[in-house]
Amino acid sequence: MTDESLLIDAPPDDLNDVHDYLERVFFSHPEVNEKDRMEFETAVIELAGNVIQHAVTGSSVRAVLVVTVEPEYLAGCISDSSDAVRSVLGKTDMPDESAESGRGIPFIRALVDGLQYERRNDRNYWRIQKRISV
Amino acid sequence: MEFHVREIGADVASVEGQGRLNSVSAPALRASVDRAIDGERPRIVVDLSRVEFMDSSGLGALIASLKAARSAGGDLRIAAPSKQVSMVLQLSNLDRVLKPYESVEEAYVD
Repeated sequence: MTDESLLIDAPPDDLNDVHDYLERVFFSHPEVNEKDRMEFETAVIELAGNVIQHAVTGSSVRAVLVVTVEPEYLAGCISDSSDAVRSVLGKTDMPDESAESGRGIPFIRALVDGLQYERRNDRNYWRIQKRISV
Repeated sequence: MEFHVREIGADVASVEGQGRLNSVSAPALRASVDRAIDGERPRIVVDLSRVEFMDSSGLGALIASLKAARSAGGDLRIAAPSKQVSMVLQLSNLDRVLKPYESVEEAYVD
């Protein structure tokens, strides 16, 4: 089922609003096991962090996040108003251990089964999906 | 999320916080570690027992803090990470560089 969506206006909204939203979603879905929830939440926060990062660097960002909990999978969709994103999805290798950034997309790739990006009508559309383990 | 620096030895300090270590709180961690180093305590243990969540920005702040501590002749160790924090450390292959100790007290028994 599709749960309520979260409108993110950053600033002043930040990642803690996304955490609070995820807590509300999973409070309504206690059937999701701890490991799946932990891995999915981490991936959603990394994705939302990438989107909100544009707000940190100067311009404001308006985004909508929808998390869907189905019996067989979890999905998270974020659409945002930022400029088109280039050459991010190709990042799969974990950076050197001394690196202080660059782990977000590799984390997402390691934690969920699918990551898609599409640019449509001057908006970015991101979707991640994770199969629920049996 | 606030961090507190606690002096626990001649040159050791623990940095303790409660909540989520993400891009919002990462600068506060860095500032607290810098405060400990400035206070002549470059051997630092970050108490993660009450940190429920860490993302890649939080991990980046730990790496930056580790480098700062080592530059000052000390080290940075972590204590009591949650399951989620341990998962992030393993994913990034940093669980050897930031080897978790069971408690703040055990981090610097040497």
